[in-house]
Amino acid sequence: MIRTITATLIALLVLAGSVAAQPRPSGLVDGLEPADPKYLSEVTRHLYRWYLDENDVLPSMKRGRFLFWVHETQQRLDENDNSRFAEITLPDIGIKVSVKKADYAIPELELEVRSDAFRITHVARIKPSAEKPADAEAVEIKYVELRDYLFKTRNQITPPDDFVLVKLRQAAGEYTYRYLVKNNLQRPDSATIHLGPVSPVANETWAYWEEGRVLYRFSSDMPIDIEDFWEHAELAVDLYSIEDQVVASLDEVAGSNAYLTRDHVGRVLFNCLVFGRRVEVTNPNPLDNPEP
Amino acid sequence: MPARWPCLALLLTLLLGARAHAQAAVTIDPLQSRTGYVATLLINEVPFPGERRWVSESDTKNAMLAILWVLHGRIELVPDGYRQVDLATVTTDDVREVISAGGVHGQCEGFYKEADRFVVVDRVQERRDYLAGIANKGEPGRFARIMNYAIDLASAYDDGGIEGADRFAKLRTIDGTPVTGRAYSWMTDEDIYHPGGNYVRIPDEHQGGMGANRFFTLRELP
Repeated sequence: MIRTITATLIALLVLAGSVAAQPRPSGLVDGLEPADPKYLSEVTRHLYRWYLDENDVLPSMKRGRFLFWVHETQQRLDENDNSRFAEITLPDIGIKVSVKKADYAIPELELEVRSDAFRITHVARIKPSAEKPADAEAVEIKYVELRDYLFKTRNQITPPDDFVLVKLRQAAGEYTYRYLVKNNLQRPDSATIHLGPVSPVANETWAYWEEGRVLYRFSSDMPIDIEDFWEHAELAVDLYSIEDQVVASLDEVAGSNAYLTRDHVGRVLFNCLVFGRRVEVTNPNPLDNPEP
Repeated sequence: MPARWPCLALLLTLLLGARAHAQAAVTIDPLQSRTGYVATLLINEVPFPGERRWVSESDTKNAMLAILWVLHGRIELVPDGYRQVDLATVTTDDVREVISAGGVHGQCEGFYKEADRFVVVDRVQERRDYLAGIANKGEPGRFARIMNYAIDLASAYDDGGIEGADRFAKLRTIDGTPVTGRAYSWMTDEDIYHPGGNYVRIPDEHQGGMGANRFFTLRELP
C-alpha cells in the first residue's frame, strides 16, 4: 500500500480558492437511525456492491428474510466528542458492519468533523450466530422486498456531484503526478482517470488511473462529499499498483498490508469503470493546472 | 540599582517564556536513532483525529503500546517452541532490525534497510512531518499528546523498559484454541489481512482491535 497524506493538496485547495463551508447532505440516509429499515437497505446495497457474492444471500433466500441485529456500542471517547457508534450484524450471512456518526472537533485544524448520517467504518466476516446479543434490536426485511430493491437499484449510483468531482479530479491528478515523479516516469500529456461513485453510507471511494494501472482509495473519518472535508481535512489516499500489488490470495504475501486480492480489485474496477466517471486530466500536475 | 532586579527578572521571564513558546511541542529524534525509528513507526501505524477509523486518543495510544509490545516480544519473549526468526524473520536484539525486516513491503510497511541504514519511504516521512506540523501549531493539543506519547514510549524502551502493561500477556485460549499469550503481530484491521502461519486473530472480546489495527497471538505448540 502506498499511503500518502496530502499536505500539498491542502495548499493546492487553498490556492484553488475557498469554498463556503456548507454541508452537502447525502440525502438518502441523513438523520436515520441504524435500525431504520431504509438505512439497513442502503447498508445492504453497499454490501451488495462491494462484498456480497451469490452464495452469501442463499441463507436469507431460504429463510425468506434478511435479518439484522442492530445495537449502539459505547466507546470511551475524548472529552466533547459526541460521536455515536453502532454495529449491524447480519447473522444469517455472517457479516458485521460497524458504523459511526462523527461529531467532534479538531481544534488544531479549526475543523468540525460532523456527519449527518451513520457511515460504515468497518465490515467484518464473522461466524454466523444463532444468539442475538441481549442489547441488540432485531429487524427483519422480507427477502423478496430487499432483493427487488437491490435489483432495481443495482445500476443506480450516487455520482460525485460537480463539487466533489472537481476535488476528486484534482486529487487524482496530483497523485498521478507525484507517482510519475517518484518513479522517474515520463509525464504524459494527459491521464485517463475513472472516478468511482460515492456512497451515502461510507466515507470512501476509489479511482483508477488507466494508463498507470494504479488504484487510489480516498477515505476519511468525515464524509468526503462535504465541503469542509475538502477545505481543511487531511485526506489519506492509498495507492495500489495493479502491476505490483495484486495477488490471487493474500496467503502468498502473509504479513503484508501492501496487497489486494484479484477479487477485490475486480470489484473496484467494476465500480470505477462501469459506474464511475471517466475524466481526462490534460496535465497531471494540478499545480500547473488547478482547475479542470 | 536594586530596582532594576525585578525588571531583569521580568525580562528573563519574558525571554525564557518566549523561547519556550517558540520551541516545538513535538520533537522527534533523527530517524537513524533507535528512539526516532521506533517513534516514527508508532506514529505511522495509528489513526489521528479526522483519519479513517479514528475513535479516541486512548484508543490510538493503546494501539501504540500494543505495537511496542509486539516488537519487544519478537526480541525478548519468544514463546516455547518458536524461534525468533519464525516471528521476526531475523535474529537480532536491535528493535530497528525487527521493524525493517522483510523489506519495504514487510510487516512494517514502508520501513526498510538500505545499505545498512534504517530508512522509510517518502510517504512515511511526509506523514510524520505533516502530523508534527499540526502538533506544533498553536497550543499543544491531541496531536501533540499522541506524538509525545510515541516519543516517550520509544525513549523509555531505549532506556530498557515499556511504560504500560501488555494487555494480551495472560491470554491463554481463543475460541478453544490454546495460545501463547501476548501479541506477536499486528495488521490493518481488515478481514482480508492475516499474517498466516500459526498466528491467531485476537477477537474484539479480548480487545484485539485497537487503533485501526488487529493484533494476533500465536497458537501454542504441543
